[in-house]
Amino acid sequence: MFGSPTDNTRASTIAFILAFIASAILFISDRGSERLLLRTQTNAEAVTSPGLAMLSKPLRGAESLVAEFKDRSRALEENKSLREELYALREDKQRAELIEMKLRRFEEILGADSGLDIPAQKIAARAVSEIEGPFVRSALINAGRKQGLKKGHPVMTVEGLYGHILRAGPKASRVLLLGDLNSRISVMSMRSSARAILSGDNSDLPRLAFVDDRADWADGDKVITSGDDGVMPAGLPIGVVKEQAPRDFVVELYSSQKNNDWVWVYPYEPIVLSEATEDDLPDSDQVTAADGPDEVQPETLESQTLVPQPGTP
Amino acid sequence: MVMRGSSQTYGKGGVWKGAAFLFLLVLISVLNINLAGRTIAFIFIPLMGVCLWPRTDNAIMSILVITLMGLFLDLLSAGPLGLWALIFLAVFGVFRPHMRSKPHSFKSAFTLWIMALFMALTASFFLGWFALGSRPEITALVYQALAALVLFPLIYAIRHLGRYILTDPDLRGM
Repeated sequence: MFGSPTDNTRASTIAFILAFIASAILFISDRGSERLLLRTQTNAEAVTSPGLAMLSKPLRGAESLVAEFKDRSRALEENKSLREELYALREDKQRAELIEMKLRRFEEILGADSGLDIPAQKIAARAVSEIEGPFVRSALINAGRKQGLKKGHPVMTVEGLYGHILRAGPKASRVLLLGDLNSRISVMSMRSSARAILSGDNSDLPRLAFVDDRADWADGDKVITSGDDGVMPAGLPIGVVKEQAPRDFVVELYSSQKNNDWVWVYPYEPIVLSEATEDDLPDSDQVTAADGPDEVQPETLESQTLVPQPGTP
Repeated sequence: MVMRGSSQTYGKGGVWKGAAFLFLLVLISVLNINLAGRTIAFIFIPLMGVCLWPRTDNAIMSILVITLMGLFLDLLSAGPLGLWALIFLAVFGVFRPHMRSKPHSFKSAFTLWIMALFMALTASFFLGWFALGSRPEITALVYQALAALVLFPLIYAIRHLGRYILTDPDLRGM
């Protein structure tokens, strides 16, 4: 089958069959299980990320060139609309500062802290390789554990949430994008606070799953992270809801609208579940009024993630 | 069909030249470009390295290198492990590029490429379905195959140029 005048036909045929069987075994073993060769994969990503960064430069340059031409063609029009937006934002900023001042005062009176979960620190990185294929939607960024990145950290673009860290190697990390089949993010509507799970399906428009019949979701709603899963901070912008069919919602992601070259990572520490079993926890009717929102048990948080309570803040 | 008379018509270090070319294509395949709001990916491009594999007398090494490159692509693309190794081997087994008696003309290489691409498209669809448990998006696969089809003349020209530079002047055209 694979012979040539100088080759042993039988040996090459056997080599081919063995290679095919080995690949098939790897393929079947990898299906539906934890990733095989995880360390090899992390190392391969770490080794190739500088090369990929170099190779991606001309591509990003070409993208910028096209984008620049496009921007220049509508510069005047855009300038006008930006000026109008700036005037509106100045007014909004003043209002926001006033509200912030009032909120701080109320917090002092009540002894509560309703501050944002979003960390102030940002770790910048470059998306050196982005795969948006039919099998997987992920990206490789050129920052890793040495820069302080950990599994689960949210990754942002200037537009909005991009994904979260799936694997952090020493110098490179793999990011699971929001559209990936395995991506599940706890989200809410900015307008109604209705909850859902943003579920990727390897398409450009991830779906809203676990949407309750009474949940107030509508076309055009802005979607942000709810923080209910304890993995992501609340309030990260994600996209806009689009109703494809009655009660069938998809989300147009902010991050997929532009080229993603530079990203940043929020070193957000997720809420760690305690080792406590169900038996150790008090029954729900035994929880007294003194148990405030700060004392919610981890299991309660988990149940909120799996079955979101639509319409509740 | 002209049959090869002896191994002397093979280029020296054919396997390693093929491996270097395939490695470069694997790296390119995990990059993508966003033009006019559409992301263009090149996941099928490494298959060109298999289709245009150099004529070499070392079939076992060729098989080994192609399998490893397939697995390397699986690792880099974070896709199902073994998927591309299987597709590379299937294409290599069917088209047997190392058995060619003389270098391809552009026309014959392009015809071969269309057939290989169709085969890889079908295989990746069904293998991907099996691995993921849900049907892969066929339009994304077709777009990627179209991008690979359009880029074939460019890759072919680069390979041809490289081959011309690296081949001993006395053996050119053999």
